[in-house]
Amino acid sequence: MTKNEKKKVLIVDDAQFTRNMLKNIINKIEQIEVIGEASNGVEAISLYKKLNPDLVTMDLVMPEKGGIEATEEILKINSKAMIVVVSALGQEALVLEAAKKGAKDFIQKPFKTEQILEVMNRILKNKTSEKK
Amino acid sequence: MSSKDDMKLFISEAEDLIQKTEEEILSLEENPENSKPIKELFFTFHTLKGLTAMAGFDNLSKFCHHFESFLENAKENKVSKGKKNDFIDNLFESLDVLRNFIKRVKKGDLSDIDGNFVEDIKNSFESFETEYGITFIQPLNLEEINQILDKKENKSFKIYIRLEETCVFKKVRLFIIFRALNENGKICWTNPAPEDLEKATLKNEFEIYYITQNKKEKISNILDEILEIENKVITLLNSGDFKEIIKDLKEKWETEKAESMSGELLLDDYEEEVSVEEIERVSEIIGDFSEDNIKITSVKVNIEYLEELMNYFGELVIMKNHISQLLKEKQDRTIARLIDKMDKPFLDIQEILFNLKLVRVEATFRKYKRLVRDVANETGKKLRLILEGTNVEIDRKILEEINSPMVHLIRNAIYHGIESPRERVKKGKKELGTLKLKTYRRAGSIFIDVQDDGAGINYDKIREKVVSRGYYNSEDAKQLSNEDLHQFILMPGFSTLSDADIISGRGIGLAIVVEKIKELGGTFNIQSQKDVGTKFTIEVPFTRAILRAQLFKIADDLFAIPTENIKQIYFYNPNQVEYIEGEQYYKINSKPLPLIHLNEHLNMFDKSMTNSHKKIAIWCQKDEENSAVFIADKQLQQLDVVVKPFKSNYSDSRDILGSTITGEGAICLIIDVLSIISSKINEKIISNLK
Repeated sequence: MTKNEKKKVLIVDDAQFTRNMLKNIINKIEQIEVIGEASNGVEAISLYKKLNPDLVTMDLVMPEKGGIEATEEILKINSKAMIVVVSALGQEALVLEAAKKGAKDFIQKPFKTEQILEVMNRILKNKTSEKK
Repeated sequence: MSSKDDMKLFISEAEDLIQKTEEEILSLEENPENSKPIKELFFTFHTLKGLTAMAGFDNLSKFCHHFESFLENAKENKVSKGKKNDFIDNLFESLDVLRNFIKRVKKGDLSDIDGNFVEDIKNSFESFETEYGITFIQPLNLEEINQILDKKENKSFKIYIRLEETCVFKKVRLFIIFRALNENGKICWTNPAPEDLEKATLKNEFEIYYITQNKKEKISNILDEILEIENKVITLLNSGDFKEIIKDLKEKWETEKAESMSGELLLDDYEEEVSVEEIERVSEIIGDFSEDNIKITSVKVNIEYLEELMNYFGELVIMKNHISQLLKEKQDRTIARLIDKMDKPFLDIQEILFNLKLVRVEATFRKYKRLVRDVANETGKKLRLILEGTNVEIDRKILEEINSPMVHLIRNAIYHGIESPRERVKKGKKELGTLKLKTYRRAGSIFIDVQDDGAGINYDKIREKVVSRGYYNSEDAKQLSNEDLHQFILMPGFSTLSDADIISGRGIGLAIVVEKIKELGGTFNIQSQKDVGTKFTIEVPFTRAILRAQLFKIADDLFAIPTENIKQIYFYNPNQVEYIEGEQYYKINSKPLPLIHLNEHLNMFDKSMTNSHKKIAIWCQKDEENSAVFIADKQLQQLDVVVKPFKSNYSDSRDILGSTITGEGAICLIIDVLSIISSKINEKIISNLK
C-alpha cells in the first residue's frame, strides 16, 4: 500500500439526487474518491467486479435487483467486501436482513455530512492492509 | 370448479377455516407467549392453501401460502411483544381480504384476488419474518463458560456500551456490535439479559460479558469501527469475578422471569376457575350438562336440512294431533292406545330436534373479542373482555337475532361506559377496564349480562333532563327511582348525542335494543351504580319452536296462547269488569287486572258477534306483578304447535308470536300475550308521565 493511493468508493442508489449528494460529500475527503455509480443491484454487481472498490454504499429498495440481493452477491465475489447500507427510515427489518447477509454497517437517510465522513474514516482507516 | 354443490362446499369449508383463523388470532392476541395458536394457524392456512388451489384460485392460494410460510417461521421464533400489535393487525387485515373474497364468491363473482395484492402481503410478511427471526445473542451456560475460561489464553471482559441518542435502528446496531465481537471472541452473557436485550424496547446502554484471546486494545478497535456508539468502557475481569457476576445476573434474571410468569399463571388459573364454576352452576340448573357436551363428537349438517327436518316433524305432530282427535270422536280404544304410545317417541324426537337447534353462544361471542378490540382501539379505551358461560346453548335463530342488540350494547359499554385510562386512574380505578359477557340459563330463558366497570349511569343528569323536558317538576323528579328513570332512558329519543355525560347515544340505541329483545319475547333490565359500572341484562326464551298452546276462537278465526303464559281460564263475567280512569279492568280475586278484548286489540271489531256469555277470560301472567286478562270467544283444545314466523294482516305483528297449522289444516295465530302485557305497562307509564 502506498500513501498516495486513494480509496475507491462505489455508490449504489436508484436516485440520482442521493448519489450526487453522497459523491459531493465523499469527494471532499482527500484520500477517497468515488469511482463508480450504480442505480440498481444488477449494475452494482457488474461495477463491483469491474472496479473492485474498497467500499460500497448500498441503497436497499431499488428496481431490477434490490440492495439485499446485491449485498449477498457481492459478498460471494469477495467475502471481505465493505458494504455500508444507506437506507430510508422505517426499513429496520430490511437493514437487519442486509446486515445478516453481511453488510458491514448502515446509515439512515437523510444523512448528515459528518456521518458519511465518519463512516469513511472509521471503516477505511485500517482496512487497506486487510484487503486482498 | 365443477358444480354448484362443489362451490357450496368450498364456501362452507372456507368460511369455517376463516372463522377458526380469526379465533386463533384472537387467542394469540390474548396470550402472545402461547405458541399453540401459531401452530394452529399454520395448519389452518395450510388447509386453506390447498383448498383454494383446488378450487382454482391461484392467487388466493399463494396468498395463503405466504401466511403459511410466515407462520412456519413464527412457530419457531417467539414473536416479540413490542411488535405484537403490528403482527396481529397484519393478520387481521389479511383476514378481511379472505372474508371479502368469500363474500364475492357467494354473490357469484368467481374472480381470483389481485396478484399485486399477493405481493404486498408477501412483502409485509417478509419484513416481519426478518424482524422476528432475531436470536443473534446465543449466550453460553455456566459450564461452557468454565470450559472456555480453563484455557489460559482466554481473558474475560466486561464491556459497557452506550449508544448515541439518535440511534434509531437499535436492533440492527446491536446485531452489528454482537457480530463484530463474536467474530473475535465469545459473548457469554449480557445485562439486561439477552432475551430482554433483543426485544424491541431496547435501552441505550448495556453490558456485555465477553471472553476473547485478544487484548483490550483490539476490542476497542473493533468497536471503533462501528457507528453510533457514543461511549464504551472495557474492563478486564479475573475469571473468578467474571463467573460470579454472570451467575448472579443469571439468577436475578431467572427469578424475575419466574415471577412475571407465575403472575400470568395465577391469572390464568383464576379465569379457568371462573369458567369451571360456571359450568358447574349451569349444570346445576339444567341438570344434564355432562361431559358429553364438551367432547367434540359431531358431524356437519347443512342448516337447511335441519330446518326441513324440523318442519316435517312439525307437520307430523300436527297430523298426529288430528288423528288423536278423530279417534276421540270415534271412541276406538285400541288404536287410541297405540297412538298414545306414540307420544313417547314423538317426545323423544322432539327433544332431539330441539337440541339440534341449539348452539353454544361461544361461536358468536368469541367474535365480540374482535369487536371489543376494534372499538377499544377506535376510542383509545383500555379494557379486557371476559366471557363467562360460553358453553351455554341457545336456539341458533335466537342467537342470530340477539347479535345486533349485543353489538349495540358492547359498543355502548366501551364508548360510554368504560372511562378513558386517564380518567380511570384519576378515579382510583384500575387503568384496564373490564367488560363481562355472562350467559346463563334459568328456567326456560337464557340470560345474558353485559356488564362494564365504567362510569355508570348518571341518574342526576337524567332527572335534570326529565324536568327540563317537562315530564315532572323538580320536586316530583326527586321521588323517581332508578327503575323509573330507566324507562326514560329506554324511551326513543329521550337522551340525545349531545348529552355525552349521561349515557349518550344510548337513548335511541337502547330503545332499538329493547324493541328487538321484546320481539324475541324477551325482557331487558338495567342496573347501574355511579363509578361502579352498568349491567344490562337480556333475557330471551331458550327456544320457541314447538310449544304447547291453548287454542281458542275469536269470531271464526283460530288463535292460540302458549300454555306457559296462562295462569287460569274463566268464563267471562261482565259483572267483573270495572272502569278505572276510563280503562277497563277485570276483577280476579277482587284484584283489578288490565282487560284486553282480543277482537278489539287485533282490530276485528266487525267480526265479533258472539254472545258475551259464551266468552272466555284468559288470565295471563308475565310475572308476579304484571298480568292481564284477555277476552276471547270460544275455548278449544290444547295442542303442541310448531311455531312458524308470521307476517301480519292484523295490525301490529309484534303481538303475534308466530303462526301454526292445526291438525285440521287450519291456520292459527299464536298471540304473544307477554308482549301485549309489556306494551300495556309501558303505555301506563307513559300516560302517567303525561
